[in-house]
Amino acid sequence: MKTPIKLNNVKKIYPDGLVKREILHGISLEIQEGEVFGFIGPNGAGKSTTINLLMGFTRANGGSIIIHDMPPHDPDARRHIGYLPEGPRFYENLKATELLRFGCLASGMKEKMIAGNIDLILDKLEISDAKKRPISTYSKGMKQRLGLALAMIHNPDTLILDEPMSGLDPIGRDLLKRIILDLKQKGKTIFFSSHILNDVETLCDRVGLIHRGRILYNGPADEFREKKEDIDGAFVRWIKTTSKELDADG
Amino acid sequence: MQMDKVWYIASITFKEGIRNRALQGILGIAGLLCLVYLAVMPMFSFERSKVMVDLGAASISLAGLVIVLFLSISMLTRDVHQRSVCLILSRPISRSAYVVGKFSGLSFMVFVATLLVAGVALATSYVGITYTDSLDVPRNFSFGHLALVYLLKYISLILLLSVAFLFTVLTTNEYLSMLLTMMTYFIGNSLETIVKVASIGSDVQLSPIYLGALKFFTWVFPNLSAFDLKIYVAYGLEFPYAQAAWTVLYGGFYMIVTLSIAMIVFNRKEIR
Repeated sequence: MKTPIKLNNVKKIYPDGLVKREILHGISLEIQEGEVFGFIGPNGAGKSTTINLLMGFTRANGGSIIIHDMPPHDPDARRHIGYLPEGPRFYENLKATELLRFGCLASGMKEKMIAGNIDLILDKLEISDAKKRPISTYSKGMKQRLGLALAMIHNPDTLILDEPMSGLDPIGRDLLKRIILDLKQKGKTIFFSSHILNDVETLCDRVGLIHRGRILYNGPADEFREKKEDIDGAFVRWIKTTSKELDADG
Repeated sequence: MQMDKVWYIASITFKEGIRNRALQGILGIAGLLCLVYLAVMPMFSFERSKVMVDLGAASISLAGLVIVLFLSISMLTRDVHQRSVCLILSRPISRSAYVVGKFSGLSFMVFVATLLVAGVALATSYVGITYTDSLDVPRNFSFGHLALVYLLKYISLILLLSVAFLFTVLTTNEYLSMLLTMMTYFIGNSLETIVKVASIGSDVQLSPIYLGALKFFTWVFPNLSAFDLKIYVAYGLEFPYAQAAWTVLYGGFYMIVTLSIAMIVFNRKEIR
């Protein structure tokens, strides 16, 4: 089985005024082909930092990252990737069709496939009524759906989704869950970060818990919590226990 | 270079910019300025042709400068500092292709804006010359030469745009980028005059080393005053084609250097 995403002992340091702050302390992860991986952790744990590294937006200070057998800063590595950022920002004077057309062309899709694909994906995400409107007129939820459409339009093998559920109402969340399950059935690899732990439990094969730049848990979703414990309780238990240990270590 | 990707980026940048309401407002005001000078012209008792050429060029400068300083820098800031660039860089597109594509799209937006204002300015000049007796047309006047003056003005604007691009990727703040670009604009327009005054030596005496350094910096900072050849048209002097050609070459070279530095900086930039 292939491993589309590999992180080995990855470190990331950001300057914080005059001092340097280590955000990731040598994290290692391997995401297998066809797997849905939920990346969870409290705010400021290092989830978005990890995703920025995977997308090649920032560079690691140590360790190695491999995306589809290529380093993440190689543009070709992103040929197989669909990416949804947290709170996606668009060119707001464009229409959805123009943005998606750009996504198709930039990913190397053939012209004759583009129009059909755009209509299909807009229908799937239930925003086809607004396709001729400027994006500036979209609600937050609609923008989130459009971001997902842009991530999926070129039919990538791997999807990296940063907080895909944020900004969505219960109907939108339900739709997104169905889409992720559909992608899973099609054998796509999905790496997503989320704060909504029930969704993570429903959708994921494996879970990775990150806290203060360290991976605390990396394993099957159903083994993350103990019997009679809900997933929120398990999350709090993991974080509290580890926080005490980390504080004790200084 | 991924030329197809450059084209796609330029295309969405142009569409995003040209539909901006601020741009439409800027163009409206610039067009209005051109029309207003038909009414202003009779108030001048001499050198009306110079006023005509000056006001047309000033309208282009004003509109272009506002577009570069506010609209373009704001669009670049949204991309680089507020992460809209992620929608482009999450595709198999190199950062160098992004720099060239974005600059091309913005340059085309400035071109269309300049074309519209220049069109109104030329039309107003034509109406002024043909239908009113308020304009004394200079000898050797040619609308072709006037169009060349406007073209050079456009090149000076995209040269400033390349500087604005560099400052936006170098700094972390929109206002800092605007401030540095504005300073460059003022230095670029005034340094040559300062050097000329100092070279004559009747008012000020400078050491040759200091004067040499000033001359050097005239060209290190973009020498925007070199692109201003409107005086030849306004006074009906023989148009200096060779000087214009050298100025265009200088502008092109300067833009290549500035964008190459912007590419190097942007390739190393952390987008977070």
